[in-house]
Amino acid sequence: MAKYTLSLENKDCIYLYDGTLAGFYNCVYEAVYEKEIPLYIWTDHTKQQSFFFTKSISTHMEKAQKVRESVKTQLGSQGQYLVKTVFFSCLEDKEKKMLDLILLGYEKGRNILEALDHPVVNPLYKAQRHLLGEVHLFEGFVRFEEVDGLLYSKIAPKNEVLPFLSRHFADRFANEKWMIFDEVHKVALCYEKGKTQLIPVNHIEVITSQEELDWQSLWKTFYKTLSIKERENKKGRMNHMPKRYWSNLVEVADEG
Amino acid sequence: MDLMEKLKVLADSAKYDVACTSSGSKPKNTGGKGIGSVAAAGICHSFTADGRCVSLLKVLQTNVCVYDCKYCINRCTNDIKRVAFTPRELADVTIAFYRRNYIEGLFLSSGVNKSPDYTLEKMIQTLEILRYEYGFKGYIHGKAIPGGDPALIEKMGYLCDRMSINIELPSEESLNTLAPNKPKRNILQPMGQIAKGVAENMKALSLYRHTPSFVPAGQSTQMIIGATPETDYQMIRLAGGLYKKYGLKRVFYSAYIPAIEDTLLPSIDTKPPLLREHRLYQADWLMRMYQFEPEEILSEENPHFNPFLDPKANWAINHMEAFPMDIHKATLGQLLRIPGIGPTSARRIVVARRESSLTMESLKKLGVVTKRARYFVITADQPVGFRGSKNQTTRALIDPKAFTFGSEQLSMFSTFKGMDYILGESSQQKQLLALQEALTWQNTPFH
Repeated sequence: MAKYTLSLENKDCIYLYDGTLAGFYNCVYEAVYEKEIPLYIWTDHTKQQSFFFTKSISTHMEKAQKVRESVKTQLGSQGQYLVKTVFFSCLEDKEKKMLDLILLGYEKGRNILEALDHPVVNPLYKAQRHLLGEVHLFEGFVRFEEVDGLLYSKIAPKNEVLPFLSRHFADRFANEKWMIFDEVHKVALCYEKGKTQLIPVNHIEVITSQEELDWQSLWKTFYKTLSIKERENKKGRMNHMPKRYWSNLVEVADEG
Repeated sequence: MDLMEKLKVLADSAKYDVACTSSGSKPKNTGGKGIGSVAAAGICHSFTADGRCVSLLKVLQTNVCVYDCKYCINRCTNDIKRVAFTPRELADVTIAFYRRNYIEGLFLSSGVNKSPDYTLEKMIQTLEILRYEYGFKGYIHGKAIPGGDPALIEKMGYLCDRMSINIELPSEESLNTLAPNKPKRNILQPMGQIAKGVAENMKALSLYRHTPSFVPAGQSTQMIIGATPETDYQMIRLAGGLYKKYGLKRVFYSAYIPAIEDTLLPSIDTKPPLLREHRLYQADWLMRMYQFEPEEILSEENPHFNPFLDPKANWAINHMEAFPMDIHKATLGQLLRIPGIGPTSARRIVVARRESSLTMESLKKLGVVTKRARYFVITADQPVGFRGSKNQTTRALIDPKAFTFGSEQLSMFSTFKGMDYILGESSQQKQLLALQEALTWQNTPFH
C-alpha cells in the first residue's frame, strides 16, 4: 500500500463549493494540488462573513472521479463508505473534518481507520453512527398516507437520510408508487416502477381523504389499546421515540 | 359488528404476549409481484406509553376460548365480550396497515375456539390469503395452539417467519394448577416438532436453494413470572435448558399482571414484579450474548437475584480473583466479563488495540462505561489496576434503576439485611445514600 508523504501547509483561506459530493472531491483535489489545507470549507448555505481570502471551487467530474478512486485505493471500501456517510450527516464542519481524514489516510494508509480512538477518526465514526441510526429509525417512523393511489410521507430528519432509505422502501413497496418528502432539507425521494429519484421540492400540500382518516383512526385505536396501564413508562417511550419525530407520526401527533 | 370494536377487543387480549421481534428472517421470492420485505435487524415502528416497541399487528383471531387458564382474561369462565375476525377482514387490515408502513407484519394468536384444530385452520386461512392472494412477503409470527394436529402445525410453519408456543409457567406443577387444559406434553410436543422442522429445513436449504422455508426466523416462547412461587434460579435454568434443547431464538418473561380474581392466583392488588422481570432479561442477555452459563449467574444456594446489582456486576464482585484484566491481552470472552464493557465495545477494543495501546480515555471513546470498568482493568495509564477496597467497587456498581422502579418493587426482595433502613428513607436519592452507608457497615455485599 503506497503511502504518500504530503507536505501540505495550513493556509488562511476558505473554499466555497457547490454542496455536492463531487464538488467536495474537487476541494480535496485542489488542496492536494495546491499543497494547502484551507481553514474552512463552506457552501452557499453554510458560508459566513469573513476577512479571509475565499476560493470558489468549481466541480469537474474527472477530478472528482480521480479523488474518489484514490480514496478507494488508499482507504479501502470502508474508508470510502465512511466519507460517503459522513457527507450526508449533520456533523458540523464535516467537509473540513473529512478532508483531514482523507489526508491522514493518504499519509498513514488504511490501517488508521482501525485507530477508533484517534481524534480525527473518532468523530467521523460517531457522525456515521448518528446518520445510520437515524436511517434505521426512519425505516420504522415513515408513515404513508394514500393520496390518489400514491403513497405519500413527510419526515423531518437531522441528517440527509433519503439516499439511504431508498433501497429499503424500493424493495418493500416495489409495486407501489411512493414519495417521501424531507421537509428540512427540501428534497423528495420518489419511486415508480423500479426507479427512484431525488427531486428538490420546497413545499407540499396534501388533502387527506375520509377513507384515509378512517384507517388512521383504526391505527390510533390499536396503538392506544396496546399500552398496559400498570407498566406506564412515558420516559422510556421518549428515549426510544424522541419527541421531535412525533409531528409526523399519526398515533402521537396530537400528544406532541 | 364494527371493525374498530373488534380490533379493540382482540388487540387488548393479545397484548400480554410480549414477543415483539421482527428480525432474523430471510427474504422471500414471489417473482416480482406482491408486497413487502423482511429486515434482518427488525424495525420498531412505534413505542407505546409503557415504553414497549410496536412492530407487528398483534391480535387474536378470536377471543372465544373453551379453556379455563386461571390467569387469562379470556378464560371461558370469565364474562367478557367475545368477538372474532373473519380471515378476509384480518388479512385486509394487515395489508392496509402494512402499506402505510405502520407495521412490519402480523402477530397472530387465538383463543381456542371449539378445538385446537378448528382454531388453527381459521388462522391458516388468514395467513394463506396474505401469502397467496396478496403476495405478502412481510413478517408473520404465528402462535402454535397447544394440542394441535402436527399436520396443521407443519402447514402453519411454511406460512410463518416465526412461530412460538408459550411455556406459560416455569414448572409442571404450576402449569397443572393454573392451566389444566394445557398439559406440559401438549406444549413441548409442538415445540419439539417445530425445532426439528427448522433444523431439517436448514439442511435441505443447503442442498436445494429453492426449498420452501419452514419458520426461517426460528422459535420463541414466553413464561409468566410472579404468578407462581418458582425461584429466579429455576427460571433461568429452564430458559437455559430450552435454548439448548429446542434451539429457541428468544425466551420472553412477562411480569404477572393481575387481570382476574381467583384463590389460586396472587391477590388482585399485586403489583407486577417489574424489577425482577428486568433482572431476568439481564440474565437472559448474559446467557445469549456474554457466554455465561445459568449456574454462573445463580445457584441452589443463591437462587434469587440481587436487587441492587445487575447479574453481571454481581458475578464480578463475587469473583474478584479474575481481575484486574489487561485490556490489551484479555480474550473477547474475558473482556465480556468486565462491568461496563458489552459486545460492541469489546469488539471495538479488539480492533483498536491492534493499532495502538489504549488508555482510560481511549476506552471511553470506544463506548466503554469507564465509571464501572476502571475498577477491573489494566490500561496504558493504569498499569496496576484499581487499588481501593471491594466496598468502593461495590458502591460504584449499584444499579440506580433499582430505585426508579419504586420501593414496593424492592420490598419484594427480602434478601438484604438493611432493607427496612433503606426503604424507610423519604426519597430515591436518600435511599441510594442509605444503601451505600449500609454497605460500609456490613463490609460485604448482600447475602
